[in-house]
Amino acid sequence: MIRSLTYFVWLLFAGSLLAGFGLWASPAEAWTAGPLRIDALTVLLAAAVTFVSGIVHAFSLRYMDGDGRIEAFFLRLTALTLVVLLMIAADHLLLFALAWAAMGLLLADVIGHVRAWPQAEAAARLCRRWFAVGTLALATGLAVLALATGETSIQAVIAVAPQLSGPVLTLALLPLLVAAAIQSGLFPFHGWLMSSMTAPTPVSAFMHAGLVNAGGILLARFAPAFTAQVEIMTLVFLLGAVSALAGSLLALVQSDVKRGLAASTVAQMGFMVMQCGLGFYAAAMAHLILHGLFKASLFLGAGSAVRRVAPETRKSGLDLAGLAIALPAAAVAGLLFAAVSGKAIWPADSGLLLVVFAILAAAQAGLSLKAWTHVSLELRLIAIPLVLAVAALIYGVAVALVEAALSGVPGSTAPQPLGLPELAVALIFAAGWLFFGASLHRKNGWLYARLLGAGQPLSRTVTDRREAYRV
Amino acid sequence: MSDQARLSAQLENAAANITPYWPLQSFIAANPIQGLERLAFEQAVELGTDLFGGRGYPGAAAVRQALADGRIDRQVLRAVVERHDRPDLLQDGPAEALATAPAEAAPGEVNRVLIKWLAAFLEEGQAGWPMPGREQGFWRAWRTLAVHDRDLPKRTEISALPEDSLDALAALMAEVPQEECEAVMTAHLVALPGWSGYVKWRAGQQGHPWQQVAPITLIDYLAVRLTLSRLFEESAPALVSDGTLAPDGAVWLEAWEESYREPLLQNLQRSAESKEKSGAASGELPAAQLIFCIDVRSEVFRRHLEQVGPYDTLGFAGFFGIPIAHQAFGTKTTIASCPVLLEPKHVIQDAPACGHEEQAERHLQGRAHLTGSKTLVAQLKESVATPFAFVETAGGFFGLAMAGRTLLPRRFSELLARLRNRISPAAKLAPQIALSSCGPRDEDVTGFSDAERIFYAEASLSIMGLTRDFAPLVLLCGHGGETVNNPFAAGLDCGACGGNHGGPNARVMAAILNDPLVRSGLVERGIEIPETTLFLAAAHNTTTDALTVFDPETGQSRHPEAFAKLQYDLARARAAASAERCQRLPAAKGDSLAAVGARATDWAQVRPEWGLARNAAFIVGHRDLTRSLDLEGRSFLHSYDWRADAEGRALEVILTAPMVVAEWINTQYYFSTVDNVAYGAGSKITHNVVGTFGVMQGNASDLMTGLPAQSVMSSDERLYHEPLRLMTVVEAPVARIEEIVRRNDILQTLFGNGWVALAALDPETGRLQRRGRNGTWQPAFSDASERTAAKQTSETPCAPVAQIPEVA
Repeated sequence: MIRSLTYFVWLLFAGSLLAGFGLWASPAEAWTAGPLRIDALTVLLAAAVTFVSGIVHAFSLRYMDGDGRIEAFFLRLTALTLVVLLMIAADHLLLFALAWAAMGLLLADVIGHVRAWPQAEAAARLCRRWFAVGTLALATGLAVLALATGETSIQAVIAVAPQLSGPVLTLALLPLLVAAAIQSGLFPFHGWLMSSMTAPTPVSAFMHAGLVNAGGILLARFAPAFTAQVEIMTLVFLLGAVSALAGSLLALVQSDVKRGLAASTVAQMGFMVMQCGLGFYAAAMAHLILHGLFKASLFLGAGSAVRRVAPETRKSGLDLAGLAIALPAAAVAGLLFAAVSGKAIWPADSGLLLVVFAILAAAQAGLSLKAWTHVSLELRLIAIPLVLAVAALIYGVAVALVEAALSGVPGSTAPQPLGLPELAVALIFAAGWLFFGASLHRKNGWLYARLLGAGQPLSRTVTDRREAYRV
Repeated sequence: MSDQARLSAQLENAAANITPYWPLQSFIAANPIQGLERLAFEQAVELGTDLFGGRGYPGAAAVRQALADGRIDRQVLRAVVERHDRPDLLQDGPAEALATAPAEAAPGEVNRVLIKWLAAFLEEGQAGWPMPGREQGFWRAWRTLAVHDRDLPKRTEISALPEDSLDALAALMAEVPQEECEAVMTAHLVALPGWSGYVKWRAGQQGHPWQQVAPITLIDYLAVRLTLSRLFEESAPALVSDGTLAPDGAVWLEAWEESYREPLLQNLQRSAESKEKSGAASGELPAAQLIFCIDVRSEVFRRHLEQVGPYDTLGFAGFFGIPIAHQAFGTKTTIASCPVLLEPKHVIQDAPACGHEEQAERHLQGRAHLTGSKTLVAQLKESVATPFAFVETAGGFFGLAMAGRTLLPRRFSELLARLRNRISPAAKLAPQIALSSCGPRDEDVTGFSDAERIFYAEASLSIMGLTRDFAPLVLLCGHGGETVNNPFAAGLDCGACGGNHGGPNARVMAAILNDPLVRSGLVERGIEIPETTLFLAAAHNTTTDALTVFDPETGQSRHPEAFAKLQYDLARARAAASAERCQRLPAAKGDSLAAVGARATDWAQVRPEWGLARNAAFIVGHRDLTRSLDLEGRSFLHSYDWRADAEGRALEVILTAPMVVAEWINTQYYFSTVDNVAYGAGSKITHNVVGTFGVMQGNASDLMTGLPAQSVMSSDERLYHEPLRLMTVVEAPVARIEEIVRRNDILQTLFGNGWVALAALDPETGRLQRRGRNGTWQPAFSDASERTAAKQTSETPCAPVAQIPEVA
């Protein structure tokens, strides 16, 4: 049976691809069938989710071999896949909410896959509780929207929602934002995510590649409603930015591989929500798909973390010579990225922020390549701009492709005006990059201890005594 | 005695109860209750229950399985039960352990917080931001940071404690009555035996680079732990004692062991008799001699190789007798490649082979590209603000690689290997065995002096009994496993090489034995190696059964025909060995070479091979004694020629070094199997690698020592490994063996306390005898059982040692 389920998921993947071609070839924006509506966003996400799920299924065939509950495990994995597909294809508000609730219950159950392990049970309970709160928030938001608009179809709701009065819209969107934040494990709702490592490794891979993305999908589905209110957009943006920063810092101090990956997810989901807050929903979808592939791969490969590392003594201080080479090259790469992915540079809108992040990454890469002392300096001076330019092209094309695919989805790209919050965040991240890059944080015991504490799993989910793990 | 000296002495006694835990990078098998080997096995197992909550005997379910599939022989059982006067067991079968439900303990805050800080302090390159101030040692660094830890109640009190850890420990223990100190310390140490075991190991490794960066001692450990106990007002943890031992466990264990041992001994006896009858060997030289590690996995390959051609195989500890630290080409660190019983005495560096310097330069340049790329990715992932754009740029490539690894693991790994070889082409290297200076100081030397090379050559050849009749080709086969994405990868490597690949040692020894200077030195010592004899190093891949010669060009040019024939026969032996092993591996159907190849490269594979599972015997003697037997990969085989060792020096080395390592391996498999939680690492599916050196379960836990469930069980319900203690059989005069046992405390401990059983095939009488724990020797068989043996012999001339049903 476990093999049949694996083939079945790969069939779903093939189906998603076929549907994608069909949709592309057909003149229609979407196919509607009862409470379901299949549009570009649906097929894109379906392809991504079934791809990762297919890999996770195939991986588990060997990885879970000999497990006493392997059939139950596969059934839940497949069911989770189907529920996510249902959620991204749902057009009826109730169906969307039901799929959301089912997703949470199933996920909590596989986090507690190892029965009779009290800490796994505690982790499952913790997740169930958080997901219940999330589902409740979602239901509240959706109910307000349904009552206010008198519609039950998502498409109809988002068509009308922008005309709703400010307070009503806020009343609907705030709970939706809470639901998204819980589902995506955003700081400070990251506790369940940091406590979920009782799940078998393939579950973590699927969870970080598929299920935490639901928060972003929710925001993208209701994009026109969110975009209608600038204050909410700023809130979405700030929530994401805080999580992006907090997650990055939490990841720094983790000494075990899986919690390190989880903290990094907190940051990445924060960035994705930040993109939503900037009005770049399509870019956010690109981010969650690409991050999903990245993170699933790292989780499945988590067994490779045993390795020999030599201690290094990092000197504090900035490599000014390196910066002098890396920054100009990175600026050019950033402009290239902006041109390829269609971000406005002058007059600038909120897209500028994404360009800033691209420049920071490029500068880091440049600095790192500058340290390749086994290559002559002349060669490095030529190679660094070239490498950065190629990377910027790949990056720009990947984002542009997804944005083009989603161009027909309502509100998928709605750049916002550049305001003080956006500029402040850009500045904070740039300063943070320099501060941590210069290793100025290394001796700060207070910050270290606080971060170490903030990244801890809930105490009941820690296997405090060896014999508690009697399975 | 000062207070502090007394405290240190008490701590040393308490610490004797815990086993040091080696990091996973070089997997060292260890008896999890090594500290209790001073006691008789049965008492140790019981004390293990008190200290670690471990169940030290096979459980009722395992015994029932063994009864059902005949691994516990009914007839043997009857005899054993009679001996113990417990006929009731025949009717009642094994009884469940009395499961007194463990006291519902409150979440142990001390344990939880301690794990948090230990993982932070001990990590070896996993965290982007290492714990500040850790160069001052665990106690001092923690004392500074803990005041910011909001988990801690009354944390301001910490600053009042002395800055020195021993002073602090003295202050914290001040209220404990003297006579209870040791027990209190023991209780605190065994509360997290994995972590305290790792601290014990690190504290003894002054040369370990991370111990220099972050020094820790058990004094630090206890000082922090006792402070936490005080802050949380948790009393000293009660010794666990929740799992009661399986009643009558010792009887069932004995029945199981005897069911394996009796047929084994009968077969050996029979083999010895037929050897005697057929007389001395034909006198013809074999086409080649191949020296393998004593590892149980060698036996399978040796048997198949001997069946396909005129080859002699020998067994010897896989480090080939040279205590070296190996420094791979282009690296700065050395890796100890010898049993942990020994200190490495010589550093051996690899250098480009003559005429390959340019190629080696290209190799190094390419490798710098690869490490540079890894650093690039790591820095982009780790820095603040940069992982976001990086993920979007690289995500697609990660997705492709993930699909390749999962769906086409073998092809993908070949592709990666080709790519790596394109960037950094392999270079022909040779170990530098001659003495040379590598630094300004007198002791900065690598290699061996002339006298040392001759000494090691002579010692190794005479211990394995290969001092004359050299074949034209002699292969020294080091071994290692091949697996990916597996924290326990080093567990498949060579235990005699300190949990590392045995290849470097084989190459060094081959170079020594080909050295003309060594050969002429050996002549003076009575070992004449013909000029035509060529020693070649090879690597035995225990996962894929491939045996690869390191320097085939030399083999081809010196003995073209014999070498070509050997290569052909190695391939045939490989096919046969894989086919045999695939019958035992779960889900290994179809073409066996493809199946083992896939397992070696599959990142989802939790059982790449069975490692040393089912090991149960250690046989010391000439290969003639075992050549006709199918030992099913369950026996360590050490070559030994009793005639050439009148003084017993060689035998003494064999029993006190390789056999002791075999006992570590055997007890690790035994205890990981009988209790995979207290003494093993639990299931791989929820493992979480911590600090690059160990695994925890789930979010955080004790450091999980021992073997994972997947290494000893074929499923959650079925054991694969049979938990049997080691049986050593020596082909030598009983008097000589007994004399050696009396001389060595470790042997008296192991044989006298029942950790290892001992039997001897006395060549002078031709009879097998078994040694009781008290040192008395008895004939292994009464007349009646010998008649059965003879009968069995006539029915099945080459019967396997024990009929074990294949795992489905």
